[in-house]
Amino acid sequence: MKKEIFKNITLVLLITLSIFLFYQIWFSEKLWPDGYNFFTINKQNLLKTIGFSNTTDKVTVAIEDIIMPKRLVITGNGKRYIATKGSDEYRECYSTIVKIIANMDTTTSKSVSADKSEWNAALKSKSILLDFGSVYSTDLLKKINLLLPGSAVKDVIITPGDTIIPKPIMYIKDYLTGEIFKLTIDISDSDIEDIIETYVSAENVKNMPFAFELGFDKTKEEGNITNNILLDPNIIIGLKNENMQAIQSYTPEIITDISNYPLVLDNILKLFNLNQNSTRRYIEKNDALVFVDKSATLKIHPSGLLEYSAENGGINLYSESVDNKDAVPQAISNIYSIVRNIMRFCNVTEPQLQISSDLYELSKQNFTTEIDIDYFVNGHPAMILNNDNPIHPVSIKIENGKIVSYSQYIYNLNTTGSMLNTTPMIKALDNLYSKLSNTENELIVSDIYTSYASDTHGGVKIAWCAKLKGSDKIIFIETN
Amino acid sequence: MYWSRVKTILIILFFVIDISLLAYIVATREKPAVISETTITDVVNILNKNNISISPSVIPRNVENMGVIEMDNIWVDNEALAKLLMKSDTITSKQDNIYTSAAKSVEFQNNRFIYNNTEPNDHISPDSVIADTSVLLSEMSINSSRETADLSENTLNFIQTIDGKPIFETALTSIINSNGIISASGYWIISNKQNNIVKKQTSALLPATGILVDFVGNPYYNHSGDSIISITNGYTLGNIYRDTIHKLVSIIPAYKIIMSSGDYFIYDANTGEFLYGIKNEQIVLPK
Repeated sequence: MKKEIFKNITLVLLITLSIFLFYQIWFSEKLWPDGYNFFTINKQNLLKTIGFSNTTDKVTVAIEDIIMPKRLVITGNGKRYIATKGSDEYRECYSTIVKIIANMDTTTSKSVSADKSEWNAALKSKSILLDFGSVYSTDLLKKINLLLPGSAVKDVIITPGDTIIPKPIMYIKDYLTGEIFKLTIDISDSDIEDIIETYVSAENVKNMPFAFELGFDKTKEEGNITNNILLDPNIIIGLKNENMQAIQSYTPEIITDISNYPLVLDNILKLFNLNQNSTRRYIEKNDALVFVDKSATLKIHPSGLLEYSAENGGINLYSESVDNKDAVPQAISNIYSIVRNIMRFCNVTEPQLQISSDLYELSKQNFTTEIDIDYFVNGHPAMILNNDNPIHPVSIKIENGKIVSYSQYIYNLNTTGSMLNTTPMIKALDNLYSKLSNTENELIVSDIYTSYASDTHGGVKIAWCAKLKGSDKIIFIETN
Repeated sequence: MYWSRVKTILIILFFVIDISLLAYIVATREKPAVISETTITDVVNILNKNNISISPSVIPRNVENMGVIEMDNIWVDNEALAKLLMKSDTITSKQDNIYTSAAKSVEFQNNRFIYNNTEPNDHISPDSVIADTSVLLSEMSINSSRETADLSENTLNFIQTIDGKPIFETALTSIINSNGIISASGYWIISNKQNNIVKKQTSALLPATGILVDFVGNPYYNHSGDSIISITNGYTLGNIYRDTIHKLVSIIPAYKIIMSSGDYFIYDANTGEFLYGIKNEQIVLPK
């Protein structure tokens, strides 16, 4: 009897061993020629089907999200409703407007020229201003169903018709030529009127003027007004203190302890065409994790900064076969996908994103540029303070259609429940003038806005940020 | 009874199958390839035609299987390492990157340290210089158990090794007298403790002959006449990371080509890529 039990056990062990050895041989990648491995490939598929996949699917993204207007300004009855990206009201307002845009057919509209006074008059009267914040090519704006004349646009105004032209009118300013186009749009006038009436009747409507309405854009020669600083005419002037929700930032544990999350690491490396098995790994003195292969380096700092640099080549942003007109949108879409997926892999609450760099005069043959992306929270951008200088949380350098350098700060931004008060814009402009009054050049502010500024250690300040005409540098003006 | 016989037959059958499978797995495990003498001769001729002389005997015949290794660095804190090297918990002065305790001092330059002792009071026997010096270094927490050394006059040069292969950048130079170690300077003291080492999958390296043929295109040797005195197989930290302190490093299989002038060049043994060289004591990089 004992002998039979022993034989049974021996037989079971031998059968198990033979199954194991067969598995080792047949699923060995070395058994099959390079480029084809039937069993290994199907093993992965089978594991994936029964839920034992070791990969996380990337999220697909809509390019519209990142090139939507930064700001919507609806004017009517002497009031102004402003919705900035990232605010609670923005989504609803934009989705209302985008339904109208989807019904517009501007291809058959004849465009005529308009002048600056008509543009200003449109802004002062009943209108919807789509302010993109940066200059985008009209080809790119086709992705949000805006078919526009001209080549590069930063603002678009839609007004209801009047007694002379009973159809809505669209004004488009070509950034490159300065030419202003005026199009009659073949949609119902009441659609535009209804939107305007709805929003200017809202509780949080403001009476904030544009800079041109107060003459802040006029030089001495133009208006005999002594302005120490000139403002872009479309800047909206805030005369009172603003309340902003206080936020705090923190780096997710996945980033601070990323060595213990090999699956997340694997997914991030794959976004940059790197592989944990074929790259060399280093840990720097400050605990930054570094992956190096012969063509690129990826560094993940425990502070939340992710940096990539390519020594050779880079990451292709579009395929060789893509049409010229589709290359730039495909590139932007792929960039957006990388940013979003990194946040998703790291379990970060994803804020609204906005490209804050100009995107025009780019093509498949000529795609060398730098792209900055901002996070928008509660209607304000959230910058990073680097030695007291504000920088964009995402910065990308592209050469010949390939990413050669990439940096992204990965952190969560949560409201704390309390409110913070900013100084009025006028005071901020005074502070800006004090800071720059020694410069010889005429000071022309192209943009000024309130912003969050995170120091990556959890502290988040609020401040005014300003940009001068002809410069991409952001000037930080602390609020008092 | 019938089943008993069937089971016996099955046991024998599966035993034979298992032995066969095991034998197959062992047999197909990668064996180091060997370079033929004809290839060696051809490569020597190619080098000679490009004004590089080399003795055939210095070219390794075996093609090794090696992989990337990750190692923890015991040195991440200058002050802590200074205390270890000086065998003292007390630092009497610290200025810039120089730590002093009594007659001993340690200076740090990037990832290179320089230890000095103006009053050594150990004993080094002339009959066991290397062993005694290794013991003294071990007391300074420099693990010399896996180091190779060569001795010329009063200078010992150590290199850390792993699996018998040198890690090229971990050169440690000790100057001694009969009273002990006067100075010790070097790069990258990396822990060789077993649990601090992670070995990645190994694969067959490029043969040394292939590296030597690629070397012909290197712009840094003396093209009017030069001589290779050795080509050795080991590990490298690569160039960019030589001068940065890391808590964890990856060392990759590499070849080191040493010229008669003392200049040397490091090549990635998996890809054949020229990583860096030292020419006239200056670092040179791929163009």
